[in-house]
Amino acid sequence: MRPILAPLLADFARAGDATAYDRFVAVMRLVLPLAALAVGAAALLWPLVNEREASFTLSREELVKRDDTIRVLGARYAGRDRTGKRFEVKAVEALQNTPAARRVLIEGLEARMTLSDDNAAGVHAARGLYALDDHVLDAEGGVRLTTTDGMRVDTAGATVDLPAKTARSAGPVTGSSRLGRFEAGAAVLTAEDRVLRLDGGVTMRILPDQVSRPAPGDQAAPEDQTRPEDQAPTDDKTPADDKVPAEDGTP
Amino acid sequence: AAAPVAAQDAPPASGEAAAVPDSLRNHDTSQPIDIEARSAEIRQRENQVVFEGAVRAVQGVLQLDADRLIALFSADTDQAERVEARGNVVIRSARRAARGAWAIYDVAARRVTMGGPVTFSQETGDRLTADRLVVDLETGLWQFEGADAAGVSGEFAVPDAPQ
Repeated sequence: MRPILAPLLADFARAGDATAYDRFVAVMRLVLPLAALAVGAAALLWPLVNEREASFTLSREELVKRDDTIRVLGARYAGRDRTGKRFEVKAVEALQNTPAARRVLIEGLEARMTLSDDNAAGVHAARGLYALDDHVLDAEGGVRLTTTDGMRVDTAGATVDLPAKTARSAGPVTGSSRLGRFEAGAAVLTAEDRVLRLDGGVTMRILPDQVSRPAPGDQAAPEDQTRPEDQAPTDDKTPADDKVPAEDGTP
Repeated sequence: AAAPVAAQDAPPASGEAAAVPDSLRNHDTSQPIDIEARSAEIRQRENQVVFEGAVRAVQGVLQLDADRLIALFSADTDQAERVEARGNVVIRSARRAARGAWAIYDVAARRVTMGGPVTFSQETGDRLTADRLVVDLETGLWQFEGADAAGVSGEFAVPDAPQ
């Protein structure tokens, strides 16, 4: 029997370190998956661990003082208008050149104004200058104004009065609303009344009622021949130009 | 050259209409309407847009010019049901135009009604005045109506009789 085993034993002996290798593999089979799990978990949980919600009026998450410039990361400025509705400006980074400075230079800003019927108007912009006293924001570098009921205005820059909930574009705007797409030379948004005033030349595309069209061959239905008098405009029969009907309230 | 008929022909009995076919026949009223103006106010809450200053609304062949134009939208479909124009209103199609004080484009009824006085001209030199014009966007008929004795009066260019 011995001669048969001899070669095996020889192999075994030569591979004397085999058992160590086996042990190494056995250990690794346990350690490696655990290590992988640990790294995966760390990757997933890291942002949550990192997010610290600061929620007081002027959050100074991390104060980096260089001479007396105050640089705030993740700044948030909140306030309420006369009727108690909340407005808020969030900034990726805010710079005040002196502690007493009343204007803050903001990078990566997002502002939000709550309207009386709890709809909201929003401002997104690359950067802006925010006046802390009167809560007026001069945004620039590409500004997008939005309202929660479907109005969107894009422009290069705009001045936003947060408590008054108005925004005035610095130049041409393009945008869309429930009633159609538009371009204009300038715009003033009065978010509370949901009115967007466009000036400096306006082009707008509206979609008319999509009435199902009868096949071309059909005869116009008889009632189409009715007298068009009922078609008179809402005011009197033939309004002289000066007597513009008041129902739309414009001068 | 064709001499227009000098004498004003007797206006037809008041209320009668002279109907003239045109390229607005089977006009597709569902196409978008492009509107240009000096200024505009989008009033989402009232579902209307008020355009002011050299307003021009174009839908395919149909063109409506006015000093002031209001587009009224249906609240649930956000689509324009009615367009009201006021002040120096001009309706144009490919080859003809009518001028009036006000006009209403009722999209669902596919009809444009213009109020007066309405003056109408056509490339052929024909001219008409009336109190009211109704342009039917299905049949393409421009129907002029006179509300009183003045009725509809017109001047038509008659080509020379062949020699």
